[in-house]
Amino acid sequence: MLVREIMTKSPACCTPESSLQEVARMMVDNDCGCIPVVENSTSKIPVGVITDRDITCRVVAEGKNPLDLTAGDAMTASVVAVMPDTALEECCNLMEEKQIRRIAVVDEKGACCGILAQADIAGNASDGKTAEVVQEVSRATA
Amino acid sequence: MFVRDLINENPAVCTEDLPLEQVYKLMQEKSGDHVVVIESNAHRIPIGIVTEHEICMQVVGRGRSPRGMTAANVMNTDFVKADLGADLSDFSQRRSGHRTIIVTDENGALQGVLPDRVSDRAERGEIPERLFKSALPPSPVAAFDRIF
Repeated sequence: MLVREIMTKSPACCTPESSLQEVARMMVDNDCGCIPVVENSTSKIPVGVITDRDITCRVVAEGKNPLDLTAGDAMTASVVAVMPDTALEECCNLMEEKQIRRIAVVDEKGACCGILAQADIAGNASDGKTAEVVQEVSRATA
Repeated sequence: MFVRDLINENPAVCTEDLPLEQVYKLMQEKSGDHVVVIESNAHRIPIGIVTEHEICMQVVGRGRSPRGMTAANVMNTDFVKADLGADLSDFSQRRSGHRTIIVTDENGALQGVLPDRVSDRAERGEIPERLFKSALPPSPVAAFDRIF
């Protein structure tokens, strides 16, 4: 099985200049908790990722005004990515190694063309592989 | 496999009047991404659930300030309940769209939560330091690893 078979294609993306409110609305509209942050809407080169946890942390834990913040203020700057034709098992190994729940998928030009989440793997992979990813990602809290 | 086999019997709980900042702190202390809202400490009847996603939607998505808000302002009252003895396979369809299922006894009292099928521990497996403590650069850095 390849990444392209179960990834979410053409995910909603934002730019570092997008307001947190705009990003939160995108999460509502797309029923997701993670939005890739791209350089700009033309190139779609990923420069980071922002999750509902990132937003909540900045606004609630740090007491900052969400209206004053942008995606660039809350995102995780580094992006781990794979190509669409990457084998799912290889992708799982990478997610385990990096201790991440979601991974960006980029095309040959480096543009974001998809996103793969642990939930996608759990829904489509064998029970054994799902359990393996869960176990490995859980080790960080052991 | 039954609900009781995977249940987390000690979820984070609060009453609806708890300030949102304290709800979030409770969420972090329990290393989870949800807090079950109960009627009272005496009557642990679940009335809602607060998640990071809900906080993000209800506060930031609506352009509101978290100051002065409580659990009642952001909790999701549309949650799925399960009995301890229920068969897990019965919920694989019901939990669609609901990440966490609240488990109750025959009196409706909270017994625990059934985490998302990917496992509550996996959800917490994301290294907290990457998200909370790392200093973000003033402008985004286009740095990413590509694996072929």
